[in-house]
Amino acid sequence: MSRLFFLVLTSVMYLAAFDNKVYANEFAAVAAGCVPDSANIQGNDYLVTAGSVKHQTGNLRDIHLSCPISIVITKPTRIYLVASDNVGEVQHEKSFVDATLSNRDNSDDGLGNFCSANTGQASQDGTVHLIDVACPGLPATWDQTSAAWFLNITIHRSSGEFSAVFYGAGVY
Amino acid sequence: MGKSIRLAVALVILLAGFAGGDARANDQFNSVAAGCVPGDPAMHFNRYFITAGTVKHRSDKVGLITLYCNIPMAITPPKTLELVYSDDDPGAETFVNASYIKMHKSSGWITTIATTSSNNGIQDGAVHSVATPFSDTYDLTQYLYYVRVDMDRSRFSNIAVFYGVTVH
Repeated sequence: MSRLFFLVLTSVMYLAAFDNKVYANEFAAVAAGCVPDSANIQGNDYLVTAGSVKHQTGNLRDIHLSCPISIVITKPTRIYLVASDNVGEVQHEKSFVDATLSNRDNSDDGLGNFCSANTGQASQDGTVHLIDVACPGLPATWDQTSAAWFLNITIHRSSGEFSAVFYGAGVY
Repeated sequence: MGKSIRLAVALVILLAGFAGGDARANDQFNSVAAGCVPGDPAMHFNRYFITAGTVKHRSDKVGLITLYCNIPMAITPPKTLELVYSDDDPGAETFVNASYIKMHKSSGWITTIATTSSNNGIQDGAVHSVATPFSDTYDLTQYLYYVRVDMDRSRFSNIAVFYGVTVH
């Protein structure tokens, strides 16, 4: 009987591990896979390197990218941002990377912003951080039929001496 | 003993059914070429042309075109990278390359898992596919995944066309 219990237990543990890793309810976006705003494209404001996005040397214009949630997921509870920022400040003005979960209503084009993760929520020491925070405030019903959902990314710096780099983002 | 094992198997199947009730993994990732995002040099220098879902050089351009194809969802751990292309130059200077890459979420470090190239396939100007098998531990909780496509030509007379990419 103990052999039977062991067999069932190990099989269930294996299935649980397999399930968590493979069947995650997650939308993930690497920075280079997100779409820059037309002004940033035309202004040649950004640099893509090793999958990340940052300002071109000397450029200070805010970079905006949209990462469309192109898959159907169940209602997420958390948002994450992978980014670096080398200016430690509380004002969140000199430099930052921000990811906001937003939607655009299909009927009236209304924009909704629901939750954000930003580099101010981690050490701003110039190294990469995974900033993973709860996403409260979503509508009771998660609806991808009547609205188009996306991650709205902003990369900001106010001086060429500052560095803010966007690596990726997601919700789950 | 035989009865115990049959009971155990039945329990595992039953529990697997519960565990996988809401779990749906895609068994592959596909992207048409035009669905990938060009890198900044290709955009800035206006090097590329999109037609019928494919990407190629503008008639008066040479130079590297890089595209990034984000893999937005969990997929069954893949084993093959497959590229659909055309390349009319038997030499190495005209090519379409695809690389399957993972980025660590905590460090931003990237690792190239597999690459495949039109230079390893048929280069007769018609559409072909080329595939590379690989082995890697898939873990979306730790990594972001994407495919990078690079294409180039050294002469206006040669044509390289990117049609699409699959990871499965």
